Amino acid sequence: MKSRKWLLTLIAMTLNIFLLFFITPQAHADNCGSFSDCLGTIDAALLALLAVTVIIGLVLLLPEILPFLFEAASEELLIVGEESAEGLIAELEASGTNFSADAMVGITRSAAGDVVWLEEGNASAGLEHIMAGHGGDFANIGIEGEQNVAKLLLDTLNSETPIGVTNNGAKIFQVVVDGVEREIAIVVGKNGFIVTAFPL
Amino acid sequence: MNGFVNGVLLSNKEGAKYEDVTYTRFLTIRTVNGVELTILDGFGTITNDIPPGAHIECVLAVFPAHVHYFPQQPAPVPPPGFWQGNIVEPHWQAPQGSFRRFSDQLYAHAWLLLATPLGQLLMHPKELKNIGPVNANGIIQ
Repeated sequence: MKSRKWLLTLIAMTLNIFLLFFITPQAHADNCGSFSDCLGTIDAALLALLAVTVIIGLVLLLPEILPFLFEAASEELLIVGEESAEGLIAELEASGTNFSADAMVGITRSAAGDVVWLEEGNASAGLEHIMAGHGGDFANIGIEGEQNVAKLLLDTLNSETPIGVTNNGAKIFQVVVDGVEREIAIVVGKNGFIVTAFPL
Repeated sequence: MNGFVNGVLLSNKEGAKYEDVTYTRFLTIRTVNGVELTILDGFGTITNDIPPGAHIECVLAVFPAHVHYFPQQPAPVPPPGFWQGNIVEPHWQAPQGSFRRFSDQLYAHAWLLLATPLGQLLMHPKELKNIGPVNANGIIQ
């Protein structure tokens, strides 16, 4: 978000300089049949300058006024472990794995050595499914909000070895949440996509 | 009937599904005493082909966030949001061959068998880790 504000500020400054040093003198030099005509043209140019400044100001303020519109854009990819996201994503690409980089919420390498990642997903799989189906269960054990759930899952996969595996391939991990030992089940697809997770 | 939770299956929906593999299901049942329960079939989708309308008896495991144990009755009235069960058997082992469908978790270890107004429920012994040994007839909230 910070880089976007810098870009908008730069555009605003360029436009203002353009209006101030190019259009206004042009209006004064070329379009003034009389002194009153000249004043009218300069007024119009200055009004345009003001309007552009106001518009740019509003655009800059929009993220503060309507933060929810910019929330997704401001969220950063969660990377757990020592490896860079670029390296892990390149590994996924090289293996021909089907994934959506735009929808990726976080990525890590599992304790078993596989690249695993969490996407925003949908009602059936991924973070949206986890929050809709099991967000309340995570909140009950003290893990509230998408970011905290995502971090718990990636941290667990990165550093923990499962203590069991169920019929459907869900891996059961023991974790400590707020000083209390808990168990969580995480289902990871064959390609490394985190399908679902829930506390036990 | 074995005294577990029984009722009518109201809905049986896919839960987690990815690349044509269904990993979990959500079931809603109305128990014989009129309570609607949502159940997660999370360990192998053993309920795939049970249609809504079917009368089922389920051996359900509960995974509460907080557990209080009272060794003797009567226990205090449970606070709002808590439920209560009497310990029937602290180390219940599922008898082999007694259930038509089951998750391998059922036979993975002994369970705490609780009698509740909904029917009998199971609780994982790990929930009692900070409590210590419990006795039959004690109360769990």
